[in-house]
Amino acid sequence: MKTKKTWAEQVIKQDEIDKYLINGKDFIDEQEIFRHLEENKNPDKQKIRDIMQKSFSIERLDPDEVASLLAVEDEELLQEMYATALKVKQKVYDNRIVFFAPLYCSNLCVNSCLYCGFRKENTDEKRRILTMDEIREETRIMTREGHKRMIIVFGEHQRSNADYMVESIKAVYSVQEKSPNGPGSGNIRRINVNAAPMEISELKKLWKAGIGTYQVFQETYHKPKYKIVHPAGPKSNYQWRLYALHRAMDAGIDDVATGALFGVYDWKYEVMGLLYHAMDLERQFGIGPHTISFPRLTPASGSKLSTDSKYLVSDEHMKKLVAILRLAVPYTGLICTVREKPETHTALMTIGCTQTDASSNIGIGGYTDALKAKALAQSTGRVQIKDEQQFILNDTRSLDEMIREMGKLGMISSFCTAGYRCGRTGDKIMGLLKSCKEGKFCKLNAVLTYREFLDDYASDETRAIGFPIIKKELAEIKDMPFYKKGKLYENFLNKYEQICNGERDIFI
Amino acid sequence: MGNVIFSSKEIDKISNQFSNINERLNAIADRVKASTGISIYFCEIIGSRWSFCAGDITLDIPEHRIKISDNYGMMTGEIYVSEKEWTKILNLLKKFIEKQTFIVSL
Repeated sequence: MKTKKTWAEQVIKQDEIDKYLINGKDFIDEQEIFRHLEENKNPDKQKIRDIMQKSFSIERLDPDEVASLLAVEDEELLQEMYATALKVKQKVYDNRIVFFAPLYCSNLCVNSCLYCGFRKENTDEKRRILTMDEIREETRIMTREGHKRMIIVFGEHQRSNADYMVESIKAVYSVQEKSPNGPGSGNIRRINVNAAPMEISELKKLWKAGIGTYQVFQETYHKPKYKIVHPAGPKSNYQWRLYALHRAMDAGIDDVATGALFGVYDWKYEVMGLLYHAMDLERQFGIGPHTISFPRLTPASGSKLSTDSKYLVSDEHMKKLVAILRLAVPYTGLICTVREKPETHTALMTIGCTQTDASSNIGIGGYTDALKAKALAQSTGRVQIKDEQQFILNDTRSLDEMIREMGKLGMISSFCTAGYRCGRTGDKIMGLLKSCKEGKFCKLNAVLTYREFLDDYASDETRAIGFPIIKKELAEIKDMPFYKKGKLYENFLNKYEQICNGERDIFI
Repeated sequence: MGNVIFSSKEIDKISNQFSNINERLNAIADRVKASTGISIYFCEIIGSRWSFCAGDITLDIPEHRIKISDNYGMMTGEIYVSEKEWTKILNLLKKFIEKQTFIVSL
């Protein structure tokens, strides 16, 4: 007798994998990656400097070039690489760091990933799926802190399917919350989604909900390792995950994001995998990933692999791999998360990262629970409830503290969501990034949103650091030839004045 | 720029040459540029998202963001025609979009 397939068994649609294969093969050829790494083991200094120059011209690097960078051990060259990575970032994205926070809606999961606290066999994990009221409450707390951008995260489960995601997204967008200091109210203006790979028809539902970026991490690009760490569930299908972003593109979602979980397998191999992923998206759709993330394996509830993996990445290698990613795909955003310790986080931000989360709580209902716990304990610290979250965070600073820290480093914090509300999406934004024009808009919108934050949410200490930064940015804007074109500068000044006068959500 | 040579008939003619809406919008954007010098690109509106869909991809510094229907918006460069002429063009574009949306919903 034929048994009825479970929900999880029906997730994968083979034809939505096959259509992207080339001659029946996917784009990760392990032997080819190993060959690149082997053949470029001993690059000479001039070759490395030429590669850096190519990157500074905002061209994506080829596998041989990235493999050469991965082989660099010479301290002097490494320092040059870090410096060039930062210069590349500044050329493409200017001096800004974009802030966001995650909202974990559900930890129900049908998968068995060995590194993850959400895996279905983990009986220590308290399972929970947020109601729409709870999602609105979480959003209110995040908004009160000053957040404007959110990444919404779901475990893979029948109950947190695309319809639930759409409802959650609507719930988040519906929240308007009075700001603590300023005259107006705040809201989440862009929701990016981190969710399991889906079929195209489901992805279309997300698209219609008005999301920003759809994010799926491959975790590891190494097929045998992938099989070991994903023993069961839909996630055990490597190719289904590998083509998640391709399907998203076909569903109309033209901003997609990838990443690898560093520490599962050899970090050099993973950097190459990310490069090949970007290359295949460019080949098949003409658009690479909007961002790349590089979370590092951190301890997770009941996961031995999360502490014992022989591929755990050291701080030094972390720094190197981030610099190499910056050089490899100069026009792609790089996201550093608060999985990192504060000192590592700061170091990574200064070698080319473009975005970070802050004041994150990754428990299900974590923002609300932490607020309650804090009120109860009269504590000043953040609360992490280990058995309700996917992994442990190492940097629990508040958004205000983090923004102050970036300010001390001379960086302007941004909550800009202008691009995706002005048609600067997909190949349009890629063109602007490659020609280094998008960064000019980033600069203007960073000033507008930074000013909003300082007026509405910042502490006195942060304001004291923030206002001189705005003054400096305004002076730079005034002098830059780009802004003298048309009425751009005049428009910007008008908008800045509007913000200063208490108007909100004004962008350019 | 001189008189605007841009009519409802012309839009229909362009429309009939192409099978999908983005191709039509591309051709219309080209026509607007040729007759007025104004660069435009069109966006599909999905929630707060304005997703680039057609038009002048080289327009890097738009000056105006105009909603032309619930589903479509437009970014434009500097407007070189009189307000009256521009209103006329906008009305034509709005009508065109309405018609397309109607056809799609059928």
